[in-house]
Amino acid sequence: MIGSSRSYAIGMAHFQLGGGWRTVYIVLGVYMLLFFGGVGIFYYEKVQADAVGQPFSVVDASGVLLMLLMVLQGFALLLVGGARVSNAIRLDLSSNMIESHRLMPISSGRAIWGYLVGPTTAVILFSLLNALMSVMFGTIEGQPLERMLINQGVIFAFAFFVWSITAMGTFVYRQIFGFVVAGIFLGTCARLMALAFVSVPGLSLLMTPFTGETIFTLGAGRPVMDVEYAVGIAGQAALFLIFFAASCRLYRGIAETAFSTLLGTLLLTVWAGISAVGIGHSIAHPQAMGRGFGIRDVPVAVQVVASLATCIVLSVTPLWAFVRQDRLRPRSGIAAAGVVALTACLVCLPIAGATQAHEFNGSALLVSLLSAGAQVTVVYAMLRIMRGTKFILAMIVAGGVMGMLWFGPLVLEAMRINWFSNGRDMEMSVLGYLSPIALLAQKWSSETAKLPAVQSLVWQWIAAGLALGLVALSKRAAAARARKRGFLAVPALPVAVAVKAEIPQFESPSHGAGSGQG
Amino acid sequence: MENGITNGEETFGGQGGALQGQPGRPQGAVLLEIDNVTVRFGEFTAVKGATFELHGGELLGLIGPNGAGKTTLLRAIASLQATAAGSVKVLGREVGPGDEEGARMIGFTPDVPPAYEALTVRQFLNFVAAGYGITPENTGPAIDFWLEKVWLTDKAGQKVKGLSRGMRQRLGIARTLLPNPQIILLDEPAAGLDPAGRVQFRKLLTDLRDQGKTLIVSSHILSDMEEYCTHAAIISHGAVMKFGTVREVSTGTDTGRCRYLVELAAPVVQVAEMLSGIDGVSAVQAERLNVMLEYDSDRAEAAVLLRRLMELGLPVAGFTAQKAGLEEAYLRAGIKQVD
Repeated sequence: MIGSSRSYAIGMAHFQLGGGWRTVYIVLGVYMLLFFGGVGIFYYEKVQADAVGQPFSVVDASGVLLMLLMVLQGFALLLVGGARVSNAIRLDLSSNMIESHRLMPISSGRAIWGYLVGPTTAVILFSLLNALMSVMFGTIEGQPLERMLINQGVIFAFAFFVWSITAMGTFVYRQIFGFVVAGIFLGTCARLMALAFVSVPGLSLLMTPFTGETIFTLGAGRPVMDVEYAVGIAGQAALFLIFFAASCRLYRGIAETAFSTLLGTLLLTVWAGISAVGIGHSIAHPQAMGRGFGIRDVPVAVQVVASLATCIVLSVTPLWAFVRQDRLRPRSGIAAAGVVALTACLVCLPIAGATQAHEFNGSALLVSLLSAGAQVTVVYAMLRIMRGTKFILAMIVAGGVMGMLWFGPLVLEAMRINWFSNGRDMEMSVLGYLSPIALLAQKWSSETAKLPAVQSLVWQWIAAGLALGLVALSKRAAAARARKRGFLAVPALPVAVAVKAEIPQFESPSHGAGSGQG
Repeated sequence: MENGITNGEETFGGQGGALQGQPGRPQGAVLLEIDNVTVRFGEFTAVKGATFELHGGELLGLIGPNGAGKTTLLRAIASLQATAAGSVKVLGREVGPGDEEGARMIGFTPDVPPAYEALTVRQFLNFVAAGYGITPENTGPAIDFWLEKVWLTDKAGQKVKGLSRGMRQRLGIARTLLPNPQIILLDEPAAGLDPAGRVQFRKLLTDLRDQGKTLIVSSHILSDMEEYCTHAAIISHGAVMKFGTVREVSTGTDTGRCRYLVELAAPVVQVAEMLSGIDGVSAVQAERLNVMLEYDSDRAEAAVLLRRLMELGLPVAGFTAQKAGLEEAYLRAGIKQVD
């Protein structure tokens, strides 16, 4: 166990539960045997080849071996380490040991640190040995020491970043790690991961092991990735701290939401900032991005729209925290307007990275701000109406409404073209451009604007106004119920749900999971 | 305040001492103050404005039907449950979730104490000791001391998953007492114990009480609680209906009335109606040969009642005044089972 004082009691317990030092010795012993066995076979093949005068490329063979060691490193740190963190938290939640921990004079931060380094001690020691072997073997075979060290640093930093997300995710939903691994596997098979990787440059920067030609490739042509790694690791560190703080909130089991309004805002800021840097870097050095997936050139418009879309999705975190806190301690409408305005501005932060793009202009910036403002207002209104329900239900409703706003006009437009084209080519009409996605894509593409953005923006703000009207209606209905007048006169199901939500109440904490988490 | 056996800096526990006194009498400063504690789950209020205080050396028994809010109140005191209102103070200092100093002073054993199944009893207690910052040189002796106190010494090397329910209960109690908290909260602690274990457990509780610790125990075994509790609180629907010393609670409902058990030698037709006709008799409940009724508690009046029964020609085989106690007080409180 890394550390053994009171601070690490929880980690120490999980280290013991994982087999303790006995498991460490066995794993390291078996690894050493396999490693030196592999090296022995490698030199045996070389000697045999030399004896019969056949060509034997030491560089190629060592490259394969080093790649295998790096893959093993990734497997151990990301999959095994992540699973161990998740299992440890899940065990404590399901056995109720978490309550025993909460009774101890151990701060939330120390407890979460224990979950990160306790169950993974054996994995960390194994990976350190593996790193040492890789560096030694690579250096002997002529690989640059600097590159070997950077690769190891990148994978270790990424692992801690993944573990912090895993810890928080497991507190929210115990089986999350399995679903995430399955999702990544399926996403990779379907190349959706590649699409996400190149369309969202922020993701490309954060996934440092896969940035450029990935740390798993030791080919001679790999570009130097110092800047990308520096930005990526800085982003990982910031997000690590945010997820760590959210885990601490969930550990106590009494927080309304995983993220407070401040934490949610910080999360959005960091992500939007990384997206901005990613877009800028992608424009300046297109060859550095996405090469791990074999995709090089992606239009700036796609990157801007995709990054804005991810920011709007992420805007749920500060907004949900705000509406939930507002339910217990009501705040003024000005505070709500301020949070929505700030969130809308942050959502547009990725645009800062597109200043070098030749499509960048004041009009595109203004349209993006106004569109983001309308969309964030709709998200806020939906969450405000659904704030008394479970997070997942609120997300489904908000996601459904946003889906209709984004894709509804495009679907209708596709149907119109399909029915009325009669085999002729038809251009997109104003109906299609009512979708914020179509509007922003047009604004950020090099194409000449076919239609003015006014109609689209007016429609988006009408939708936002309707959503805010529903909020006002729900407030009135709640007030009516409070006066025991009943609410028969109030139409619409969402309002009825909102009436219940309006009554101030304190949720029961449920070991970090369930209602209110998000 | 501490008065147990010591080993270096740590105090493990022990018996007797300067703070030892008679049960029911305050033995020092107010250790625990519960002020208007309210806990809500959505629109349901599980604990409504609980207010009381306890001194060192006082042992409070929480009585109430299932779902009355006893466990929730204990969890709120242990800072495991968020409160919607009110405060919990230990030695005048408000405590809450995440308060490390408060955590040192309060120990809590839930009705099903959790433990790591894959660890041995000693490994598990070692972990607990580390969590409370007990020094390594004191950990071994402290664990030995409490294992002996809860009769688990011979199970120290056994894995937790091999323990019976009663043994787990005792391990949970050892886990709570190991860091030597000043306030000890026990939720249904005797539920899994065998008769001999319950006797030993009562002894342990009285020892802790006599050391000057403050204890709160929730239990349905009222006869046991009368023996070791100094105070009692009856809880129903989240509200503390009665609070006081055991004597106060037991006799607090004394309105000059007493319940009498009349045992008949043979069944009598319409005996309930006959007895209800006697002046001063109320709440008659007849069940074959046994009849419960309420009448004046004065001994002379009891003799008058007995004479009236004989005059009515009833075949009285037994006549007993029910002693005022917690069970009696609980039944008189008219608490209905919570759904």
